[in-house]
Amino acid sequence: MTSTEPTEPSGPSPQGDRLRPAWLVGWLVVAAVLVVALVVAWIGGAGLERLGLLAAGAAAAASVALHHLVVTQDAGERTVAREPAPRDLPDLLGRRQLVGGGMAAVLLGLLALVGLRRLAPPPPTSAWADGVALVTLDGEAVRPDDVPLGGVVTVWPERAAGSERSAVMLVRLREVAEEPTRLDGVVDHTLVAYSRLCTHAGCAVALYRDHDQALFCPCHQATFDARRGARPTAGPASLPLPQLPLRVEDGALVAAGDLTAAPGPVGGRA
Amino acid sequence: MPPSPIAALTDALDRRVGRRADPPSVWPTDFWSLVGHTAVVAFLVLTATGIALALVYRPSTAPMVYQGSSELYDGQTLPTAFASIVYISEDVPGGQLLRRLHVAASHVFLLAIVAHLLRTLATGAFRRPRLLIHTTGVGLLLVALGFSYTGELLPFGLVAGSSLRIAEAVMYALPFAGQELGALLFAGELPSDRFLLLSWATHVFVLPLAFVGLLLVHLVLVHRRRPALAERRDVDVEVTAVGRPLWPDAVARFALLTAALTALLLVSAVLVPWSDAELEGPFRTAEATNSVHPPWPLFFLTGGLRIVPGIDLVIGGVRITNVLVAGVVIPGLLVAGVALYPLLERWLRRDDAAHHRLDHPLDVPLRAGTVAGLTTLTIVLSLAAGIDVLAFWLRVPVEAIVVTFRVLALVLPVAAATAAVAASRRRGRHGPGTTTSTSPPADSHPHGGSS
Repeated sequence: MTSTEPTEPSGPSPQGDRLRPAWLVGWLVVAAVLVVALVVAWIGGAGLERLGLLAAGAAAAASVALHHLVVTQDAGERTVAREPAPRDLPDLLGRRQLVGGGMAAVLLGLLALVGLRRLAPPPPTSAWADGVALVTLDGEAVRPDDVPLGGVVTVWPERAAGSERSAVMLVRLREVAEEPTRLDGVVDHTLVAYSRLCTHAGCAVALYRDHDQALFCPCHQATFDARRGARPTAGPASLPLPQLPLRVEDGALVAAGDLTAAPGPVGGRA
Repeated sequence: MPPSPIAALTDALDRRVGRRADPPSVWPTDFWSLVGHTAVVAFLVLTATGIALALVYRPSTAPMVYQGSSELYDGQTLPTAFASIVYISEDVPGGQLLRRLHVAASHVFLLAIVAHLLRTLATGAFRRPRLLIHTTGVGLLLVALGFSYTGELLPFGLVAGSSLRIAEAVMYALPFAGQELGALLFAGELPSDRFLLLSWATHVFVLPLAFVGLLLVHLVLVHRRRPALAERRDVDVEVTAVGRPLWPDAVARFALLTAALTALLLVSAVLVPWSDAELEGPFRTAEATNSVHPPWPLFFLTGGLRIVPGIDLVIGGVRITNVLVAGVVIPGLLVAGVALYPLLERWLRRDDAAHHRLDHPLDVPLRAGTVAGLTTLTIVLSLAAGIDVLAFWLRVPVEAIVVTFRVLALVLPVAAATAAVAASRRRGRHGPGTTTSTSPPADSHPHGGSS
């Protein structure tokens, strides 16, 4: 059947569904009363359950009223002959405009790239250097004894306590550190320090698994061997965590130099 | 006497898109079109609750002492944003309800958009003349994902720092200008207001404007192009469009859907603690806890970041990291696949004709295979976001689960696509009523041939 004249294939609702004004008005009144009750309860500081159920009741009463309206007042479906469909894809391929447009886009992209490189702020400089004291978040100096066996303490450079990129964790290993750890930066052969930012995607490597002395990132499960230079042993990281060489000065821990690499994720530049 | 403004408005509506419109106004009101309408209803709920929440929320990371009725946080120093979330939940009457309603509606919002998109792809509703409707639909999905990411940052909970650093790492991984772009957007260290203001402005101004603009184009085109319809006995849907007048029939149905869905969302908000940022705790520098997960619509991104192996390829000064592959290449291919598949089908099947009848999902082998493959890949990547939870449940080392998922991500999508193509071919040989849809109509012309 290919009728192009407007018809009503399904027709309006059965004759039994007549509009009952009293029913419609009744449910609208219920909804209105519940809205008033909601406002009163809200002013009275009612709890979540009461407010939620009053609002849900109002919405449900409105649904009943609207459903009655939809069922009884339905005019049925209409048909209309379809018009010829427009082409929704311009004929660009193979034309000069496409080549010109492509070249303009490349040129604009290059310009944006150059502009971006000029605009971007320089990379942040490290707050770690030889002789910088290690402090806790409260600014207190850290001694080797403050890190218990199998324990981890998060520390910062003394002038940048709490700054995210400089965060370093001290790990007291159960066994002696081995290569490729920078062994001259290890205190007591077992106290090592690594950047807390994961080399994969920059999350805090916040978990330490004591039984295999592994540092573990909760974001993507990158795992690092704390005993062997924090080289990645499982998961998605490809580079070891930068190490902070340590030494002891007047009984307190200080850095013996900068981190062995920039902290945080490796970028797209080789 | 002039008619009242309301009477004049309803009269104008009736003549343009209503019962007296000529040609008749037809708007789809079948079950599947309700799914798309549901996304719009959820957006309305999100807008209403979002405006109310924005009146109290404060986008600042500055520390402040919270004093209020939350026993857990009373007297504690918290970031202002987190403190304002606690304040909304515990001290503003109905605030907790608003937050839960907002989060519950966001789940419905994304579920409805994804279901609507899958149905569009599977039934071929994207074909001429509905290509632009499909393209704007993919744009709406991307905006919804943006809502999801920025919305999760706003409470400034414990893992907000990790979320930001991951986004920065993905940006850093872009070759040539990634570092500069990342430095421009993410410069400075946490806690800093800059990121929070950026997320807040994006979530509250940029994305809603983009969504409303795209939605208007989407809906106007749906109305102008007439609905694509499933096959029916009484009407040949290729030459005749069937539907209800937009005014008042479809509008009344939309109002009914809004009221009913709002009631359901409210009941769910009473029963389910949807918004648990207060349970997670506030942001603390360089801290995180076990089981760090983004909102579920972004699981496919984090799943990829978890299972793509850590092998870097260095080619001529450009380092291709697994962060680039999992954070840019794979999602880029998924989105491009969904957005550009209509063009691929047109080109490969040399079918540039207009189609108004929705196909069975297995009618076209190419389409069945593509939809099955892309869907399976997205599901496997999304499940991979839970490898830590799976390792805990199954009591298996997480490393073994990572390897399993690496294999699954390569094997399952190919297997699903192959199975779908085979089922589609079998249906083409033996199945019902597929002869007309598998061979292109006679009046079709090859794509781009007329220049």
